[in-house]
Amino acid sequence: MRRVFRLPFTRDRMDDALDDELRFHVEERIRDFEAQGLSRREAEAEVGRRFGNYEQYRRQTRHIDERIMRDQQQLEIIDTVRREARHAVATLRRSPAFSVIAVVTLALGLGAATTIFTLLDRVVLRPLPYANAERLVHIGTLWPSVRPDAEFAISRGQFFYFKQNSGTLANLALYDRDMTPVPGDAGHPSERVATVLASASLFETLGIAPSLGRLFRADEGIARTPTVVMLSHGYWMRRFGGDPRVIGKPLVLAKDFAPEIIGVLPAGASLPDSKVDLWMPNWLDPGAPPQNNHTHTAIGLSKPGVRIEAVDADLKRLQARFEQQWPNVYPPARDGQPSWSQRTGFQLHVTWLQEQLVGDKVSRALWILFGAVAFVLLIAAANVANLFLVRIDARRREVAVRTALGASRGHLAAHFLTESMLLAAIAAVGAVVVGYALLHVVLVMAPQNLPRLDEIALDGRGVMFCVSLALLAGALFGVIPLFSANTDVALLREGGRGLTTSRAHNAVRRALVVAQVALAVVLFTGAALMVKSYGRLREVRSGFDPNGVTTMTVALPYSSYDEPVRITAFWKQLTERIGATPGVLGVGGTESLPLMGESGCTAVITDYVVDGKRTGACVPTIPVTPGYFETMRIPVRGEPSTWSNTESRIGPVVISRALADQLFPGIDPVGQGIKINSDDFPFFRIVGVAEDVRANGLQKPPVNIAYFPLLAPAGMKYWTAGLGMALVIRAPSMDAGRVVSLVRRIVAEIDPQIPVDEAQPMELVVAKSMAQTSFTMMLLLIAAGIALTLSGVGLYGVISFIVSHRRTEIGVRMALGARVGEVTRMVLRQSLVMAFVGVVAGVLLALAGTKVLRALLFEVSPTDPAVLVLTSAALLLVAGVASLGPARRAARVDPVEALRG
Amino acid sequence: MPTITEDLDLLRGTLDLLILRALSWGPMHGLAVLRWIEDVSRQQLQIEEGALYPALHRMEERKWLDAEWGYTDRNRKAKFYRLSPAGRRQLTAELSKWSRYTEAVGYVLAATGAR
Repeated sequence: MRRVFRLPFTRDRMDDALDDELRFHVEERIRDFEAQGLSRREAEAEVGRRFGNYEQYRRQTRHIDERIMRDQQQLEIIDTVRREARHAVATLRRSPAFSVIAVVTLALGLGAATTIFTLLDRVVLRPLPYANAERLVHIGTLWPSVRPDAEFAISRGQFFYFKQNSGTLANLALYDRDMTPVPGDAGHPSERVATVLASASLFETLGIAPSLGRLFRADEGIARTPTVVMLSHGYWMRRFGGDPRVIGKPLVLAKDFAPEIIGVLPAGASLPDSKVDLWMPNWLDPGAPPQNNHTHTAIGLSKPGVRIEAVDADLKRLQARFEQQWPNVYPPARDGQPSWSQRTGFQLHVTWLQEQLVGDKVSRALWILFGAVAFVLLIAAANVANLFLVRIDARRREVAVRTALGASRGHLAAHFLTESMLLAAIAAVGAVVVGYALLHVVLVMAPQNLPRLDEIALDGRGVMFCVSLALLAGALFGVIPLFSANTDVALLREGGRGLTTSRAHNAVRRALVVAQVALAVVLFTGAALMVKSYGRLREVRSGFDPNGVTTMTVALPYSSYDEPVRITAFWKQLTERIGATPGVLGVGGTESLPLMGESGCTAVITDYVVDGKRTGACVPTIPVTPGYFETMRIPVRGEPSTWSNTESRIGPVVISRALADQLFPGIDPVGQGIKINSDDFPFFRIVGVAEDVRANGLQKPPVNIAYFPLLAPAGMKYWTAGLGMALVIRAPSMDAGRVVSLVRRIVAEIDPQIPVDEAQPMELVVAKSMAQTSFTMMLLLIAAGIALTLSGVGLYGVISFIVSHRRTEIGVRMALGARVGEVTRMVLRQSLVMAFVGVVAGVLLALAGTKVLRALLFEVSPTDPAVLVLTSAALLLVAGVASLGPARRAARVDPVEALRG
Repeated sequence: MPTITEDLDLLRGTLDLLILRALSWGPMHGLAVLRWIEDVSRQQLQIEEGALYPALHRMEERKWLDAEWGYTDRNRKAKFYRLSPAGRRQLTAELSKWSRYTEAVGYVLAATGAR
């Protein structure tokens, strides 16, 4: 039997084959009968009879054939993939340098992109971990005339009014965060525990159900002191070992304060902005009259489908009505005097909770970093694309042979795609590993106040992102060869030396390198701007000297320290005993440490009258102990508060210099009176003026502060300062750990019920306050470093390639008398011209693009000329260095050898 | 003269068996299979000829048969079938089933009265 050459299965060929087979049967059969002597017509009739229903049998058979064809095609695809993959593996192993460089470059680029994508996704893009996260609304208040840079919260009165009357909110919650001292017991030291005092509606608003016991009810908020408490899952496990029998038991917090444990929250349930261990009812008595006390955090749950603008308009309308109803809280305009809200500029501020929480600056920083790694990825991709181009030129003969042997474009595509996909797949695996490792590095560096920090982890979305990018890259690299495979058959006629690269390829190659350099310039500029900002920030005079100072918090339980005299006695004893330890140069305490977050403001007035009115301001009133200024090395003019002038009950107050200028223009404030703006308060005596401190952040202007004493003037009843203080101890010869154990020992000797927490060197506090700048700077520096290296590698590769392909030409030139120096210069010039074009493009891009950085910069212009010059110079230097090797190789070309080929 | 025609399952199994048996002698095209069956059954077994093709293709799908295009002695293009190793195993199985079946039927028919 001779065989017939058959083409692969298609539907048409399958039909033809079936018809051929059946027709063969019928025709041969007719011949059989004719041979037996029947006439043609009789034979046909006989065959028709014997065959049965032709169409029906044909249909049945065709049906089976279709199934066979489908199976066959699947098999063929699998087979092709397997064959091509095996072939690709073999090819890649034959050129390990290409494979390794391509994979590593891609993996680096993809890994970096995956890391920053995860950061961006987890912090900015992904909804908050609540059931109706996208409907949660933040409600705050702005007081531009009082504090232009700060946002305040809402009052209890507003809470009740909004909750009852809002048409756009389905629910509204209110809470205050606090720290509760929990006395120690056997096995557990006393500690301060993060607490929230919340409205009962907080749970419905956030969609939190208890895992054990019950939630508290709205009517449990009427009592002034909480009678019930709920535990976080973490605290329940930590303190009670997850014992379900705690429900119904009291949590003893003080002699006369032991709320009943009514429930445990599920693991992971927390406030949007912080972890909390104790949840207690806020004092919310609907019968209590409203007060001008806008300090309570509010979260609303908008009705489904309501836009934020509608909530804003709704609440502002309600606020206007609320102010009319309570003229004693919000005094209206009278006798030509502006109304209270006009004077303060008081206004509601309504945004989506997620936007409020993440903040413009953070999401901007993360988007910028994402842009940066996108650039890195593009640069990496350009390098790999270049590698592929080089490879295609090297393999043009192979392609030509394949084409000549009848491989279609489809076959070639399958061939190259398998190879590039295989490469991309390996790179993707590497990238996930790189991304995972990099994310851990990034998390170590990340600022502690980065929102949602503990939600960050590499997850399925990150991996999906990485893999899809890798596949996209693989597909792109795979189709590159197709654009150049057309004319390749002609190559075979060129004989052995047919390896001239196409002009188009060289142009593409140069364009890729120019683009790389341009992108690297942009990245490098961004990084350099951040570095400069960071340097400026470090030069800022904070107003105090953090070196050698250790800080920690010490909290006194209110139950046993309810008298100012007792509190003062404790601090006096503690600071004197610490101060007496050898190596301790100074010790003091403050209720609010600089750079540890914004402190609110309290209205103060003086006894100094200007234009018939007492001067006043709204400033943080921070209780400090004697020794605080000396320890922090904050210069004080006049006399700081001392134990003796504190105990003599004059109420010694120190005010900051700018506040002195504001309150006492033209006179010496020392000796003047100052007090909280309330009838219950007596005047305190100003004893000194302290230098300004940038308490709210190094990048912000200094804050006006009034430092109050632990003891009020005689006759003042309700003055409880110093229950929770941050100690500062200047002991440069001791590390923070030793200082803490020293303090722990002394505190325990005085009162073992008092917890000491949150110890850290003051320098760390300063560093943390700059963390966002340093974090962005570090990541941009890393990105720029990778970009610079990759661009250098790209330049090197292309120049080397061009040199090796111009060997003959260089040989001719040298044979005609060109000097070594001229050849070197020619190569260098070629490289520098490319780099220069890239730098110019990059600088233009940077000028247009770094504006987005403005919000992150500190006292540096986004178009800082020094930075741009430095960046350009650096890139040109890299270009020079990258082309040195190829230039030297070019110079060493032996004309005879080169011309011989 | 019995004809194997409409789908009696028993008879379709029989047709498969006949085809397998025919092909056990070597590669054949469809018509050759038919001629072989007619010849060896002395024209006693007549198959509705169209039914041959769904059967052949189904057996090809089951990988009992390998198909290949070739030329006949008179140089006509035809589709040749040959037994695959799986087909050969199938033939063996079918043959023993068939002989057990005919044997059993034989016993029944040879039985003499009720016991």
